[in-house]
Amino acid sequence: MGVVSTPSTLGPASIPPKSRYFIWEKAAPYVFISPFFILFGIFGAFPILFAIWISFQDWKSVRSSEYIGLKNYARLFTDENFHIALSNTVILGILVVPLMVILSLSFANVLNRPIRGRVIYRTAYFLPVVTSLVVVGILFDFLLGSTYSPLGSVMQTFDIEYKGFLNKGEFIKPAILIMILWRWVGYNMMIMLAGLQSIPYELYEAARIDGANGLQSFLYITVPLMRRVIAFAAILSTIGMFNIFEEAYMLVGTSGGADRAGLLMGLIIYRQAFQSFNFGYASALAYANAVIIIVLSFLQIFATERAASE
Amino acid sequence: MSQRVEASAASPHTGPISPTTAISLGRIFTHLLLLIALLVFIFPFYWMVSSSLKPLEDIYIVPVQFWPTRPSFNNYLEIAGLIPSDEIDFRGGVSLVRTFLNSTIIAVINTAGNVFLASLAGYAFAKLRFKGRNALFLSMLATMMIPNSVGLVPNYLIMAWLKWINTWYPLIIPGLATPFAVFWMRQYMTTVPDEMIEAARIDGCGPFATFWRVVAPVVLPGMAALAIFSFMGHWNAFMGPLIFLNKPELYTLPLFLAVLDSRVSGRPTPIHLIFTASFVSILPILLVFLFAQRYFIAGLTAGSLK
Repeated sequence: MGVVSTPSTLGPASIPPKSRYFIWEKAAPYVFISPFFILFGIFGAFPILFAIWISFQDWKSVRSSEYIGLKNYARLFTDENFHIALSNTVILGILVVPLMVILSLSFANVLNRPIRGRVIYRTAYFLPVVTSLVVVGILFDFLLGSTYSPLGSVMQTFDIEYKGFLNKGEFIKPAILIMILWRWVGYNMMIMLAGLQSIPYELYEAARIDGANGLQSFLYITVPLMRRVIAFAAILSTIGMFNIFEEAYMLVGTSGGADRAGLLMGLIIYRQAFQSFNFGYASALAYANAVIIIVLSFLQIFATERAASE
Repeated sequence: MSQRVEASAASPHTGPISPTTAISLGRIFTHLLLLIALLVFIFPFYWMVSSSLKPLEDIYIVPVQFWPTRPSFNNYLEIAGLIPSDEIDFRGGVSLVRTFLNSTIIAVINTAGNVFLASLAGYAFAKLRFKGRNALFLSMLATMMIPNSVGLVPNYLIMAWLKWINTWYPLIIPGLATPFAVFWMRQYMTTVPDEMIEAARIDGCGPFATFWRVVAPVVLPGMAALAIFSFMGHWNAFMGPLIFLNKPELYTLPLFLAVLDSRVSGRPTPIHLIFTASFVSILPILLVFLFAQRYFIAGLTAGSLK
């Protein structure tokens, strides 16, 4: 860098080519990362800090706000919609996460074998993962909500009164559950498959020679060796539950549907921000949501590591 | 679980299925379950496509019509605005064709920018030495743990101050280089042998020439995967367009679909046209997926590669 800082009456053009190369060499890494870091700084890192400040303000408009301290956070304790959304999200999460892990691990375990047509099965199971969430919402809105769906026809043949799954509060959560599993099982299956492929085949061979049956080698070889992969999938599904927006928006709207049974965290954050324009409270909600996600993730990691060390 | 026990007890874990292996009950049962699952995963797609070929009356009948009895492509022409239609209210006169183009432009610019800029940054993080490298990389990783909803309001305010509401800038500029893409390209770059970069330097390549002529060709598969899932992410993105756009001529496909669907605004669109538009909107991604599955899966399950 000495070359740069030395005052030179000759101007940059007279710096010998080798030194100019040297400067470029030193500066290149910064030049290479700067487009990313400028964008990331403005639209990625700064908003995260800015959101804290926003959450301490009461916003009158896009340009004017007033400091109100922790009032937005205090409101969390009295806001009924937040309590409903949180409990809905937790209830659905408790159902979704184990089912997701069991289904995706089962499919992966079967499709890890040289079974006929496994490429076709894998492709088909993965297809929902590449489908737009808005389209997923539209499809399930009809298939589970309309009386003119195949399900409706089946109900009619059996003379069961059927008005669609989405009109009644108690059926909304099962409908969302089915939609989430349909959309994400293939994704988690691929994660599980990648994990299964790293287990040496010799382990199964040795177990077989020792007389272990299929279930035993699944329980005593696959599951322990897959512990971290399973935890990873479980954590991703948990995080996903707290971030769901598009599918739920298309299926039940921002009101959460009948009895607010489909009101989820992602929906109330959007609703407060862009329907009620409570920017401050929406940011407080988003931060509360983030803290819950991070705490749950660490708890899951902690539990996995403890189980592994036993 | 019982079917798995039987199936694996009847056949060895790997190795080709020998023709002399007796077809066991367990294997039939396994295949039966896999087939049922396959139908469950495929059925919504089938229903969408078959409905897109039906007139509305054939959707609203009981019992349902699984196979279109009088299939036609009329719905496709109607949704494209090629034949006059009194069934559909194109908000602001904007048809599917225009929206399709909008989505394409936004996704292509984003993808090109992201692949180039994230590769550059990823190369610097993986292969170049500079002060603050680890600190910068860790700060980037740390922010990746924060859910996007936290940035929702601040980003809206930033875009409002920049007077970018009702333009494509909020959908294009921030996506030109994303942390995930940098992370992904860095992981790929670490597999490039140092000797190769050293040799390029000795041959007189400058930093950019080394990246462009030597490193980039080697990590092309990584770039391809990034390009595919970056494109898909932008093609399917909904929240951004929903927040930032309310001029119909700027709409992207997912927003167009949501607006056509009754819940958002205006006159509701009949379901056969919604299904048709839905199918058209996912078709490009489905086709790319079927031909480049490997890259899709690599990218979408990237987090699990430790």
